[in-house]
Amino acid sequence: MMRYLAAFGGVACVAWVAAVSTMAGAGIVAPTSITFTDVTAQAGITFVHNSGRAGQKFLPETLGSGVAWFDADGDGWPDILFINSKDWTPRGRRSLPALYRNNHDGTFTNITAGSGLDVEMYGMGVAIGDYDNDGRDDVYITALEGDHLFHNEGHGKFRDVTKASGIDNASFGTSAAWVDYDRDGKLDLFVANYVQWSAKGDIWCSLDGATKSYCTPESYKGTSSKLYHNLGNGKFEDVSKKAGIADPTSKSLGVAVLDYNGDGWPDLFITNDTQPNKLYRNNRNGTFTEEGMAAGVAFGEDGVARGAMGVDAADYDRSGRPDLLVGNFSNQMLGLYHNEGTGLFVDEAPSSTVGRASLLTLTFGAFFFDYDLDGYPDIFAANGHIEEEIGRVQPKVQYKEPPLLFHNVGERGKRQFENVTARMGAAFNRPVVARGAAYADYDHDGDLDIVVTTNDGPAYLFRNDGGNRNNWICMRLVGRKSNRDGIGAVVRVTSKSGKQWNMVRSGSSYCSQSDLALTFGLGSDSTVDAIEIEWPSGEKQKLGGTAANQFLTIDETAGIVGKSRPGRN
Amino acid sequence: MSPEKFGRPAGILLVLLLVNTAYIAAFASPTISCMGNGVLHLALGVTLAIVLLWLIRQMPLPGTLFFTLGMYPRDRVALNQAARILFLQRKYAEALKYLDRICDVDPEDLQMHYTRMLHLRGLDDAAGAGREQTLIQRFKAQESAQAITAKPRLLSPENNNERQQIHDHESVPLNVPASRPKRALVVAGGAQ
Repeated sequence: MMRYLAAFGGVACVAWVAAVSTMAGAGIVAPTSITFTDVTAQAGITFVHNSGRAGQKFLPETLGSGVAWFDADGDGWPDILFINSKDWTPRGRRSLPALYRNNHDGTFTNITAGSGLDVEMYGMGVAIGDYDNDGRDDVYITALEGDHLFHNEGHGKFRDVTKASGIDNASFGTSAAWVDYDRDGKLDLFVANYVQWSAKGDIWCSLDGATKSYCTPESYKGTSSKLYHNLGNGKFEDVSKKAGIADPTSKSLGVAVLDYNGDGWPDLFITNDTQPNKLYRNNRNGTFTEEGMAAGVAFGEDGVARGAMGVDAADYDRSGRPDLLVGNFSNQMLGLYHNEGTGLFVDEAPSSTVGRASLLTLTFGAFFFDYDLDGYPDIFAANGHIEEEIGRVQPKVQYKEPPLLFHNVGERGKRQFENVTARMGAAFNRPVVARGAAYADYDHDGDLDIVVTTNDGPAYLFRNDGGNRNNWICMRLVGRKSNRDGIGAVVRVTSKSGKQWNMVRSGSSYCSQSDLALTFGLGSDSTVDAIEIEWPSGEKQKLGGTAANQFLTIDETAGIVGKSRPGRN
Repeated sequence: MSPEKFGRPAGILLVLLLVNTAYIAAFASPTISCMGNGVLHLALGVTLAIVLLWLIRQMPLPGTLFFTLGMYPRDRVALNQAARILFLQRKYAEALKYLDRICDVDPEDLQMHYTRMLHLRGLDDAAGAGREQTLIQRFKAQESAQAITAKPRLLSPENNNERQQIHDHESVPLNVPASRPKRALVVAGGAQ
């Protein structure tokens, strides 16, 4: 009897402990050996953003500027372009964008002077794409007084071709994205525009009724974003109205290109500040239909528009469908919209760590990227409030905020994220007024590094140390029938641990551009079994297996035309 | 998204287990040996705790919300929260019952219509979802109101967003479809 009782009690105790520990969510282990090291100074980056603020509290001063990773000089290594604003009234200094050339040794050299990009403007965002298919990435910069299109002349030199291109957008442009929406092999351009603002028409707003503070966008009328169709020969046509994306009420800050309904045609998701977000479904005939409200991505959970900023799209649960990540205002948490595959999205942030951890922060730059190369996209959010004095009226909300990094606990087969920000090192956790953010493997060691811009402050380069303990494969596409960058191409990778995919995309985050090369984390898989590419031209390419930890260059017609191994660690 | 932390329920159950064990021990027969008695009661308590844990995990709503709705069955905030939680669990049909209860209280509740639209989309009821979308557009505040009324409000401080002859609100006429449920018909009548 005693033995029976003891055995019964023992089994019950073990079961109870197991049940409680399961419910407590114990056992989730994030990679602990990865840190993001601030290497800004040692990399030779000295860029400091100038918002032009001089006490007038003009709305554009709150927004900061973006940053782009791209190969400016054609050497195969990602360079950095920082966008800059300027003084409202000249104060004896020039505020220029800054182009940093990658020296292949972890350092950069400022080559702005004489590059052709040394144009003073109130710059906001940047998008990179080879619009004329000449094999060199061109640069589009949104600016308050009028956007600029720079043609890449080679060797790090650029020529302003805005006027000749027919592009004329002086509507407070913010984020932009190159997208071949009609799949004719030429990159078209989407430009998100914010509000109708001018220094002359600036409105007086106040937090305390006595002193001027920055106005929220509700005070200003919205303005239509623009879609430019690439006609070839360097010419563009404004097709915003014809395509059905012209909406004068929108106050757009972000754009993500995705194929949410899986029909092979790129759709557009536009984030709006205090206006409903827009989801434009591509009708495959040069027009779009807006589906944001019906899809459940226009509003927050209460049916009210949020202050949406940066955005990105990726398949975070290997469902085969792209999901959405949206950076929102403080007290509104990130939006993490899961694509149900029925035209409906479910915002899973409120029931997850992502929502709870991001409730008080104001997120501008945001993107999915696989920082630990385990094969599941993680989340990075760059935060910082717009109002310096916000702490006075909302003590829990701060002007300077640390970023957020969420590890995707995908290997457990659950859609679950873990906040690992605190483990990423002291420098990474420093509160800043972040705005733009983008990623690339600048040191060619396989893992993805981050660059962050701050408003009226320095930029930061964070090197990923330890991410490459897992295996990976990196691919840069070269289109032939499709656009040269392969923007819009879907790449599917099969390895022992399963299938994953990603789409080459411009835009995303906030006013920024990440590297167009795709990096896939392979975890412990040492080989890739198959690579399949669906090009925007409709061409389907199937490549055989290859070893992990390589940089591949894949041509639309010739297949793999380049392979290289990591340069340094 | 799976539940991630259940620390508080686990703590409550631990207390329940101890209370239960103590209770049984207090009324136990003195003929059972001391050690056997302890192990038996511990085992019984643990088993009960496991059953309780399992039952709680089967509940679609958090205990606090369940309790609130028991006390205040017409609380719109709690009902909306319940429907929202069920949406996250993809229990679309179940949530509609809660949304019906909100409709009884306030047929113009914007969040109710928004959540109902999402649930109907989840159920692949395009017509129903379209009807809800129309109602949302009808009842929601126009996001541009502040910007549109800026000038009149500056000129005349007593004006506000609601008081505006210049309001070119993109309002949606309520064409009542034949398939509209009874409750929604009442909404339409009241709004016209």
